[in-house]
Amino acid sequence: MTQVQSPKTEMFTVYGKTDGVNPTGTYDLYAPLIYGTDAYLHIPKGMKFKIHAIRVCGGTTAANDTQVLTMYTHNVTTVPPVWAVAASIYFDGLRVSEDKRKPIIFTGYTGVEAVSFDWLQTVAEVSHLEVDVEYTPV
Amino acid sequence: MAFGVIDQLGLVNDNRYMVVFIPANARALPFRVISRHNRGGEVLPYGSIPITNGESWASYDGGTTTAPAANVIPNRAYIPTSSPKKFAALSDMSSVYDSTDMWYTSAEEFRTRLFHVYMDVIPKFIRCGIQIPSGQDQLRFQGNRVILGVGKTSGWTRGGLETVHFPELHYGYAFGNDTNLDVYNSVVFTYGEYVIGIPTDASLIFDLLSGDKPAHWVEMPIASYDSSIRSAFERNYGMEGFPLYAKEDRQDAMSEYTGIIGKLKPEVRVERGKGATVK
Repeated sequence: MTQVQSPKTEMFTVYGKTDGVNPTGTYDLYAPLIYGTDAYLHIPKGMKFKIHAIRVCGGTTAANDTQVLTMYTHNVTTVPPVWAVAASIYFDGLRVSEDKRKPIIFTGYTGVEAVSFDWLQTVAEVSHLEVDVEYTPV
Repeated sequence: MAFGVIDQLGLVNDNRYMVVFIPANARALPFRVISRHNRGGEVLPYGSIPITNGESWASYDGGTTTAPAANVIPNRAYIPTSSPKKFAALSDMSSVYDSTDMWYTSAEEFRTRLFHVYMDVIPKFIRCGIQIPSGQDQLRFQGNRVILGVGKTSGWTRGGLETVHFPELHYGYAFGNDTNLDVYNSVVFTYGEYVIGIPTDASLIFDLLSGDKPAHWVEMPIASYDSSIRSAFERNYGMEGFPLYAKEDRQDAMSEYTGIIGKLKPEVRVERGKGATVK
């Protein structure tokens, strides 16, 4: 395969952290690729957004559990956007939780779709999120 | 392993042929790649797209937006037609012909050279387009009814592109980021600086253009034949290219090709029966 034929996909990992104050919230996502942080990942028209793996870790006891919800909206430009739960992973506060399976795939049908990640905790605690994502042409 | 027309980098091997096709005038320029001047040094990691902090970009959501930091592509933004990027010479390559555009050369000094360039952009979801000449969005829809480009629904590719840089033409590079992420970025060029000649055998040219003789074809994204493109080809080679003929019209083709060959600049002619030399 020549260089010009290499797949035009971009895989990278985004990171997030609960704030340790609120038991619920939306992760501010960051990554070496990204300048600053973003609360959601927009899906351009004609592209797919794939989630290959989600990892949650942190906290200190079983009481500091974290549930991470993968949220999806058909239109991030509406005020407010209507988000639906697409997937969920539960961290028990003790062992690293990893959800690694066939990718969760979202499609940019019209170019205003987006994905975000919310947390739910029994007790507010700092825990960490890692999500392996990929932008790829349809 | 067979020594094919192109190598694993997509660059034309020595003593093989490359045909550059111009859709706007339906003419092709056949080149013999006499040698690759940068053999072994084809990868040029340029660095970030040159962006200044606060630089104004057009927004996909209307109006304009600004780059949040130097060398960061702003989110939901694209380079407007009037402000394409050129790649200035890097500090350790400052003695290039034009320090503001490392790919630009003059006919007098470089008509026997071509730059065959693959541009790879990270992240690969960045829209990439090229203007030939700089400032001229070339891609069209339904003739000239719709002008396309990185700011439109179509007229671009993601993650990079392939092109051939001719002397006497400044190209403009356009980029667009239709995600909501301000992104760091990187541009890597894989290129061949070819020493080239144009064959002077009409029969050979017909075989190349009809596909009977193997060559690497590059179809340039030129849908509008700008006068500066015509002038550049005339200054470089003495001609605008060879028209394509059907295979059954070989004799007619060769008759016309002979006339065009007679106008070629002496430096680019590769004569039959003589070994090619580097000029």
